[in-house]
Amino acid sequence: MNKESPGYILFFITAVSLFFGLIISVVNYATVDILKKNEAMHKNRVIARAFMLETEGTSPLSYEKAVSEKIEEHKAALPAGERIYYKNRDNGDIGIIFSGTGFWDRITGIIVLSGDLETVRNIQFLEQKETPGLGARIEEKGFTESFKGITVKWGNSPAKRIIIGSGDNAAENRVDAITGATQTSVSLMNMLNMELDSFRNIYQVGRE
Amino acid sequence: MDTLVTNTPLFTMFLIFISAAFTDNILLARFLGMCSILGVSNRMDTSFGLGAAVVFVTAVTSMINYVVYNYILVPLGLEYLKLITFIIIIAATVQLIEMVIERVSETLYYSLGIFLPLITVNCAILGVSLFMLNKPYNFIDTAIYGTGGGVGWFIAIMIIGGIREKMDESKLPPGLAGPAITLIIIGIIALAFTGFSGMIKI
Amino acid sequence: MAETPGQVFIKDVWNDNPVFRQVLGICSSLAVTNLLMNTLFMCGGVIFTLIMSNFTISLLRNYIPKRIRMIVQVLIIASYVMVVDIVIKAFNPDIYRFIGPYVGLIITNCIIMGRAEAFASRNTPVISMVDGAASGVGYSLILIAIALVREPMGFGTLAGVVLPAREIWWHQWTIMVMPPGAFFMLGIITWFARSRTESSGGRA
Repeated sequence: MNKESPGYILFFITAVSLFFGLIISVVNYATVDILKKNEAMHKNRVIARAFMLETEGTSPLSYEKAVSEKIEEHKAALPAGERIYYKNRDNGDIGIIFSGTGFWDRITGIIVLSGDLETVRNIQFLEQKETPGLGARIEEKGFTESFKGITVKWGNSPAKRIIIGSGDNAAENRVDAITGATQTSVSLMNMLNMELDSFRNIYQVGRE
Repeated sequence: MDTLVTNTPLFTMFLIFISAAFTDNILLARFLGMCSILGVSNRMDTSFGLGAAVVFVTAVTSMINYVVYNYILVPLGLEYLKLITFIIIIAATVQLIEMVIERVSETLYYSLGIFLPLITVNCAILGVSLFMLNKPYNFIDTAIYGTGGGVGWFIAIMIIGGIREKMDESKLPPGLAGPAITLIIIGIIALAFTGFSGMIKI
Repeated sequence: MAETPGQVFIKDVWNDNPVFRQVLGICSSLAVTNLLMNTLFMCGGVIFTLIMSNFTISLLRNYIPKRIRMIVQVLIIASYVMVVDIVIKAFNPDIYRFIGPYVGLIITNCIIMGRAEAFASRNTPVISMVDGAASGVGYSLILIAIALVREPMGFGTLAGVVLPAREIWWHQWTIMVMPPGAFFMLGIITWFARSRTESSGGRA
């Protein structure tokens, strides 16, 4: 058969695409369950760390146990859809999931506030694909620890209730940005503020 | 959850273009698409030819990929195939361009040589398609974003090509001529472009 | 081409080095080299993909129609990378968090496509594998050299381990952490490597 004839070309490309597409799909479906388990474990681990829960070790089960014992999930129904947030049964801390676009891809995480929404307890990340060594440093202890204890200035304009980077060093609602990762830091600040703003509306509504 | 700036549609489109071409320049701010530039930019005419090809491929593939992603991959739950689908679409487009260039200008075809197939794996083009997924754009915005991204790359290669042509390479120490000095030049320009970071958020 | 595997290997690692001689694989050289561990993972991924894709493309070389050769090459390369991506994500999610962002960079690594076009499509499978491995090794050498400068200067660590007496002599060179630092380092290394190969009688 002539290698360059249209018929052969079509046949070849279809055959090769199907072959390799099939391999990828098979591998994908074979691992779907493991991936789901990993994801659930990861989520429990992040929630447990964010709320600073005590766990009996680092196995997936211990995280699951800690989270199911101490954390309750709340749903708030809004015209725009449902929102989930987490509440610590013991001390009333509230955990809000935030998500937005970073420099390269989506950043998702959870920020835990005191029950009155005034103070930040902790921040942890579920997912980020920022530049390793630069933006990805948001996951490092140094950065996340700097959030502990800062205030949320609800009195400020919605975009400035938590500040990352610019502004008065001594401000109580401010943490340092990551040097060399301006875009990531700015994106994170914007998504946190947006999420906090829309959350407050739900929270008032939910409590009524 | 991300909201578009509330400007008039025309101004928004202008902003999208400016941010894709300048402040978020795919080569100088995101550092993608280097290989072709280093290999080819020593003459303005080949730079122009390659740059034009990239603008075309980026614009066309970003539009096709947008449609394929939103109307084929997502409804079928096949998002995990996005990387491979996008890159195949890019490869097909480049193959098409190769055939066109071969007919239209033999000299360009030979001077581009291996860098033509390398447009296929030019991370810049794939990067533009991947970034657009995270932006709240509709089809027209995506078309502008894709074109802007390609134009930005084109501007970058023209700047670098121009500098290299003007610079008398025979006066440089032996190992420095060619890619080495080009890298250093791009590094300096890229440093300057970090000043633009985050200027337009759209 | 009657070259022995040994000759091919040595040529690809130095004289025809993909990074400083052929000027390929630059994007990943810039992105990954600010941390040594990430560099090692990337190099491993690239060597693996080079060997497998060169082998497969060489096997199929007489059957691939000229019109669609780029599409087929890219398909094969992308498939290997995706399979490795899914497998690592499932069985070692913690390592995956290191290399996840780079998957796209391996698929678009010009070296892999470049070797497929220039070598694998014209040579037999076994020697194509050697060529793939050697190009990968040549690439890795340069990247590791860059990382050995960028990580200590940018972070004061090496492979994540804090260097001794860091408080005394280290001051953060942020530029080494950011991509422009990689441009400069790669430029300098290219300069050095090229002047060496030229003085020992290599091609200009």
